[in-house]
Amino acid sequence: MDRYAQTNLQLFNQLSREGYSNFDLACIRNAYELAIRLFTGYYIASGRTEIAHTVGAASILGSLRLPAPVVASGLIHNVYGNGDFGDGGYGVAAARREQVRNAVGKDVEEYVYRFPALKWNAKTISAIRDSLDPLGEIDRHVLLIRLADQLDHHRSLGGFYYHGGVESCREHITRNGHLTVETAENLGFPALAAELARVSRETLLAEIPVELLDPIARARSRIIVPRSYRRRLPVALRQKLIRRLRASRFASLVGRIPCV
Amino acid sequence: MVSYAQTNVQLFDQLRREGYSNEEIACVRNAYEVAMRLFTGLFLPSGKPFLDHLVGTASILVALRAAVEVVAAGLIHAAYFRGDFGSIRTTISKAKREEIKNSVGAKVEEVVAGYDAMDWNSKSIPALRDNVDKLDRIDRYVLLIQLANELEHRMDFADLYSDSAERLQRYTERYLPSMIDMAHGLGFPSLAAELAQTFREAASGEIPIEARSRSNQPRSYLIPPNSYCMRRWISVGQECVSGVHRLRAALRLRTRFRRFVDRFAH
Repeated sequence: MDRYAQTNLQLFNQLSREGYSNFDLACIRNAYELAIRLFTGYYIASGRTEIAHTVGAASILGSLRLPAPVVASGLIHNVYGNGDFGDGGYGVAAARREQVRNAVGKDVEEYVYRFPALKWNAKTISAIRDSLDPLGEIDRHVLLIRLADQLDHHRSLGGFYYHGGVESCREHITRNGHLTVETAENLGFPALAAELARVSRETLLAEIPVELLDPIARARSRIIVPRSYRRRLPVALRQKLIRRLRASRFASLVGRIPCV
Repeated sequence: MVSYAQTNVQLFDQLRREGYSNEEIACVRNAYEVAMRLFTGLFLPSGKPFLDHLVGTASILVALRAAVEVVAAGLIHAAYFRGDFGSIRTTISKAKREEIKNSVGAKVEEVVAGYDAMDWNSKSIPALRDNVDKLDRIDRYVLLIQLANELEHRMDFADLYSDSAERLQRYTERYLPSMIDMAHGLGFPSLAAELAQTFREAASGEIPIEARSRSNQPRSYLIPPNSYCMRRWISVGQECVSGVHRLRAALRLRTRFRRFVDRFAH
């Protein structure tokens, strides 16, 4: 069906086959347990669970035989963007970093922390490709996590399942696909480069029946909450306050609101 | 071991490859939307998302070229006993059936209700095996979903990840022959072969303890998002219902004890 894992069971079976040690597996299991706590109920645009996406990214990193902390960080790479920490806040915060460190260790958290700092858009991709030499080992690994993230999204036609997504996805690949491939090559991963090139070609030719398209255009992740559950009051109030402040001239005060 | 779909995208790809029409794929997509709402945040003891298990079950049915209503029902087969409808009642009800009917149609709902009604235990399994030929159309569909569900639960050494290897060994010895007979009786020899191979592989596999789930949950469990809590009226209602159940059980025990004492007194 697919050469990359989509569930924790497939991922651990793959990593065992590839010769990761038991110590490595424990590190990756800790990351998975954190991922299911922070991404529960989250779905990406195609309707696939966020957990399946992060497992897919980790599986790609595992197939490249990268160190266990890199594979583990693949499982929680976007945790500061999409993870629900229950504090009503957004982005990176000291308390959040502490929570992640306690769960998966300093090394893994460092990758996860640097992931959102690596801006990946039409303006920055070519600059990143041209400036790989001065990058340290951690940043090179963070870049590999980004490429694995991209590969997993394109491989599953993640952008195709909502109205208007097909065009923007194809445009992105036409403009930046070759840059992504060259970045992987320059990092010293020809297998990843070949895989990215293959997936880009397939994505440009792929078609999705209109019956499968999501009628609501949502390019980003969404949360579906169990119906017996409601948002906690302090979280709801804090988020409402943040929204109000952002829309007003007191937007600079947002950072001073304490977490719940 | 054959690999089946574990995500909606893989399932839709498989449906297209197997030649299901766009209308049929749309029906499965509707069922997936329902599954997302009912089973969000639910996990198996192995740590695998419940939704992936449902997709896997539907994928097995697609591989068998089952009718589209069976595939769609496979995607939501656990709706009436594990689905969260946002109500106090945890079993099937008229309102729940109506809701499912409105979402996926009466044909699919009939199969899902049939799945909920079919007993699957030490008494019913031998009886089902001996009466496969006498089952009506819906019950045959339900039995097929039941076997696909069994197969999916054993895929990827799932039992070994949840520390239930010994239980699997006993379960395999006791029920696998019956399940193989049922698959043959339903006219699916490939499913029978797949069940035999997967159960044996699952029972003989080995998983390092470091990769196992530490959830220690005997059955599927919910991990709600951290920013959310259970609605007060539902938690109070469920407490009341379980209190009534406990009281009933205690009264039943008391009655039995009295009868026992009376018998000795006479």
